[in-house]
This record gives sequence, structure tokens and C-alpha cells, in this order.
Amino acid sequence: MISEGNEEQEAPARVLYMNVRDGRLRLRFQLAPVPRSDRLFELTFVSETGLRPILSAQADLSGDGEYRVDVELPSELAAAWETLKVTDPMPFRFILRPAPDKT
Amino acid sequence: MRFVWFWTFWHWTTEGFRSGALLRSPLQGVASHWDEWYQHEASESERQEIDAAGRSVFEQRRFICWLARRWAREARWRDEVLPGRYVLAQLSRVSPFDKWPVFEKYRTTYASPGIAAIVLDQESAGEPGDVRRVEAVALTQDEDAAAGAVVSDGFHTDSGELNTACRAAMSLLNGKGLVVFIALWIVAGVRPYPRFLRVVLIAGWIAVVALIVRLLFGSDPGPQLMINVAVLFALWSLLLLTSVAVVAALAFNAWRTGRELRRRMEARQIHLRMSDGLSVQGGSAGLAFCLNALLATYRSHPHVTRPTWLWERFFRRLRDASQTWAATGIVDADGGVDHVVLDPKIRACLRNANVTDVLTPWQDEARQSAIERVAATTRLVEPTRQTGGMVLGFASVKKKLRSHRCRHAAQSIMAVGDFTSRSQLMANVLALAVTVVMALALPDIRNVLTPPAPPRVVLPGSPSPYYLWVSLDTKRPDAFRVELESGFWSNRRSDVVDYGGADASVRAEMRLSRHGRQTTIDERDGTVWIERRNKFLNREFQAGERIASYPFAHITGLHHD
Repeated sequence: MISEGNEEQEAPARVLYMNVRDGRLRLRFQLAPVPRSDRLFELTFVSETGLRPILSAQADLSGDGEYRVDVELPSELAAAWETLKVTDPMPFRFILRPAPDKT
Repeated sequence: MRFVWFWTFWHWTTEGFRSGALLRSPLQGVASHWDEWYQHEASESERQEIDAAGRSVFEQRRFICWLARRWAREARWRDEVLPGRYVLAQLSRVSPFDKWPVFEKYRTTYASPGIAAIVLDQESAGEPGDVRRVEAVALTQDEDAAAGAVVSDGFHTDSGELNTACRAAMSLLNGKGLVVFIALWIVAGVRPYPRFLRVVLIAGWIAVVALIVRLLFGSDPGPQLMINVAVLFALWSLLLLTSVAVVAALAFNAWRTGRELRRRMEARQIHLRMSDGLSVQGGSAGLAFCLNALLATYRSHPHVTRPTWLWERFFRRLRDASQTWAATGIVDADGGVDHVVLDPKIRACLRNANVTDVLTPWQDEARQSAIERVAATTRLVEPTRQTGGMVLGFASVKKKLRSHRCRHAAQSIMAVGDFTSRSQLMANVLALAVTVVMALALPDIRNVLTPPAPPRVVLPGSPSPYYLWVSLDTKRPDAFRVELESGFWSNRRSDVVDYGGADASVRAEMRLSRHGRQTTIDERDGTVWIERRNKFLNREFQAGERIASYPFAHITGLHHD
């Protein structure tokens, strides 16, 4: 879900890369169907089962409409997500809020 | 070994894909994967080596040559040589290659030019820039279910339009579209005959026509009839067999190769590129996308079409046409081409110096005469070139733009492949007319060449004393004629006909009337002759051999028996 002020918009996210290593999550995803031009998003991971926030991070635009996340994971999430493949159903959803550009 | 760091990256991306960390294949996602690897996975020493390679233009060039010529062949993905230019185009957008000057030319092109699409800018009345260069490459399809069969690159459009164009291309390769193409080619398509054979075949058809005319209107050939008919039949059969065999072999080959190309197209993802960042509304670029999807599939497997004359000729010409042809038209999944707004597009083509031919829907505005009218009123713009600060100006010149109107995308194959041949069309019309005549004349030809066995006279005889019925036990009544010679009755000759009804039989019927100058008073006098009949369509030749004779009394007595 993309939250912009009072507006909320749902959009499927396509996870292109996911790697959990040394307690860090490296993730790349794409928003479908039309790529957005926002350079930075505040990202909240919401648990798919409990529907509660489990993690917060920043997603940077990284070329060709892809966003990249690099964040430290709590140990229980790191253990649970270590074996996840990009083709698996993801145990989380995103709430994205456009963040002001750092530059 | 040079550029080891690129091999390290390639290993990382292939392993990442195999282990499920990467969604897209190493080829489809090469830019994104490189970005991830270079920014976050490469070691410090690898980054230094990459930076060192980028410091001089010479080293940058070496890297490009190595990647295109060596790495692309050696790396392979799914047992296929990698499209080096596509990889270079993808890498040219990511760091550090986006700052390497030698990558400049790859940033806007895959170096796979295709038929241009005519996409008008908002409120454009038809400017040269509305003719957009389209490039297409076919890459091995990912297993990713969300990945479409066709992907737009550098522009946005409805994915449904792209998929429809792709389905139309598949139909042209192996579906209704192919049937339409083969039918068009059979009717008016050039054949792959060597020149001398073409001349021989045309001479052969003319000889057949001459023989038919000779038999229909010439003097009675008498005993030469059989030779004349035999030569005619043999020549016609040979010509027909040659034509049918050539058409059937080429069509079957095209169908088989088309099926193979379609299978390969289905296993691939087509990337269509237009560099202007357009958001394309409507489906008027569909015909160009469809043809470019075909071209991309061919380029990925050029060897597949080599044994097939039809496809090889089309694809070679399509490749050459990519510099100078443009297309517009909405295509449906079966290849039908629908109308579009045409006037400004024609004007755009006229103003674009590179376009010599345009494929359009079947619209009046695209008639050659209509285009010439537009050309007369359109100010044409020649490109200006700058050399050392000097601007070269060119006077306006009259431009020739050829239009190829299509109701179906198969007609665009005919146009691009330059298959349409008026002389072949005329030869086909002649051959068809001759074949119809020959088909009608086949029973007569058969009677001349393989005459049936002499028939016997059988029942029934005539129930009336005023008529003579000569019934024969034959299934080919056209082959015989009956003649009565009598000193009492008028001499008559009658054709044998297959009669139906209560007294059904194959017989000749004659009305009996007395002779004006009787030589006998015996009303039982006379002989009934059965003779062979020689004819060709409506031309009767002199009577053939007499094969049986019966006393008149015997025939008239049959009724009583």
C-alpha cells in the first residue's frame, strides 16, 4: 500500500532480489504496473499473518524503477527469512510513504 | 585472463538465480543484477580493477569488444549464445558504465533496428520525428509468472496491445495468418524458379493453350487426333504437377518452419524498444510491433529459416527494410489490420527523409494517388548536416513514398518480402483457366486415349415400332455413337445417352421414318453400326473406328424377346 497524505493506493510489489546474510536483509522490488518516480520511500513491513508492523526501513530508487532496501533484521526475522526465495509467498506486506529526497 | 571481475559477477548472478535469490534470469535482469553486485557485493579489489578499466577509452573499448565477441559466446545461458549488444545496452545505464563514453551509443539502441512505428506527438500534424525507430530482441523467457510475453522498453503502452501484436505475429508464423499468407502467395506470389525454368514453364502453358485452340477450332486432325490429345494431356499434367509440387513443398516447408519459429517465440520474451519515453495511446503501432516481434524471433534463431525459401526471403528483406520502412495499423490477434488516423502519419513519412515505404491499413487515404496529392501539398524537410560550423541547406526535393495497403498482416509479409508478382498472377490465371477447360474435357480425353471395350447390344429394345432403341452395356456412353444404314428406313446417326426412368439404360434412340428413295421393300432391311465417337468439348471429329454391327431385324426383335 502506498500512503501519500490522505490518499492511499494499493499496488502489487514484485520482489526481484532477496538475500538475508549476516543478519541483514538486502531486497530489491518493483512496483507494478506503472513505475513511480519517487526516489525514496519510508517502508514498513507488515506481517502477513498478524497484520502488525514488524520492521521499518528506507527504500531507495535504484535505476529502472527498482527500489532497494538494506536493513538490519531482528534475529528472529533473520532466522525465519534466511531460507526464503523470491518465488516463495512473502510473509509480509509493505506500507510505503514517499520520503523527502535526501539530496 | 582479462576482466575476471565480470566473470565473478556472472557467477554471482547465475548462482543467485539458481538459488532463488534473484527473480529474473541473469540475462533478463543483467542491469539490475550488475547494479546490486557492483554496489554491494564486489570486493574492494574488484571495484579497483573496474575503475582501472574505465580510466582510458582504450580499455573501455577493449572491454566492450571482449564482452561482445568473447564473453557472449563463452558464457552462454540455457545453451544459447548471449545477445552481446542487448547486454551492453542494459549495462550502459548502470554505474559505472553509465559514465563510460564508449557506452554512449548503446544507451539508445540494441543495434537491432526494426520497422519504424508512426506514433504522433500530441497535436502533431505529422512531423519527421513522429516516425519512431523501434528495436526488438527476443530473450529466453524467465519462469517468472508475472513476466509478460512482450515487454516495452523506453516507452509505456497497454500490455494488452503488445500481447495482441505478439499473438498476431504467432498467427503469421503458424496459424490463420500463415494460411492467409500462403493463400496470397499461391495466388500472386513469385516462385523460386530459375529464369530459364520460368521461361520454359510459361512457354509450356502457352503451348497447352495453342493445342486446345487447335483442337477446338483447327482442321480435323484425323488419325493424328490421338497424338495431339496425348501431347496436350502429358504437357498439361506435367505443368500442373510441377506447379502443385512446388507450391505444396514450399507451403509445407513454410508451415513446418513457422511452427518451429512460433515454438521458439513462445519460449521467448520480446523486448520492444522506442527511445522517446512515450506513453503510447491506442494500438496504431500494433502492425509495426507485430513485424518487429517476427524480426526479433528470426534474429534470435536465423538458422531456423535457412531451408525455407519463403521465410528466408521474407526475413532477409524485413531486415533490410528496417532502415527505410514504417508501419501503422491496429492488428488483432488473427492478424487483421484495422483503420487508423492516417493523414498526419503519411505527412510524417513524407517529411522523414529515411522512409521510402509505408505499410498502412486498407484506407483510401493510403492510395498511391492520394499520397502523391499529399506529397504535392506537403513541405518536405531535408536533413541538414553540419560540417565544421557550416550549415548545409538543401532545396526541397520531390519525395517518392510507396504505400502498401493491408487488410491483413499477411499482406505486409507479401509487401516486405516483395512476393507479389504480376506475371505470376497472370500465369496463374492462365493456368487456372486452362485447367478448368482440361477438367471439362477430361472424359473426352479419356475416351480418346483409353477407349473402352466394345459394348454389346442389350435389352431393352424400343416399345414402339416407330422408334429404334439400341441399348449398350457400357458405362461410358460418350465414347460411342450408333448409325443405321438401311435401304428401307432413312439413314440416321445418334449419340448414346444414359437415360433414366422406367426403361433406364444407356442407349441411342432413333425415330424410324421411311427412306425417300427406297431401294428395297423389306422393312427388316438394314444394319446397325456401333462406332467410336471422337470429340473434344463441343468439337466433334470425324467418326472413329466401327467396332460392331448388328442386323436391323435383330435390334428391332429385341423388344419382343
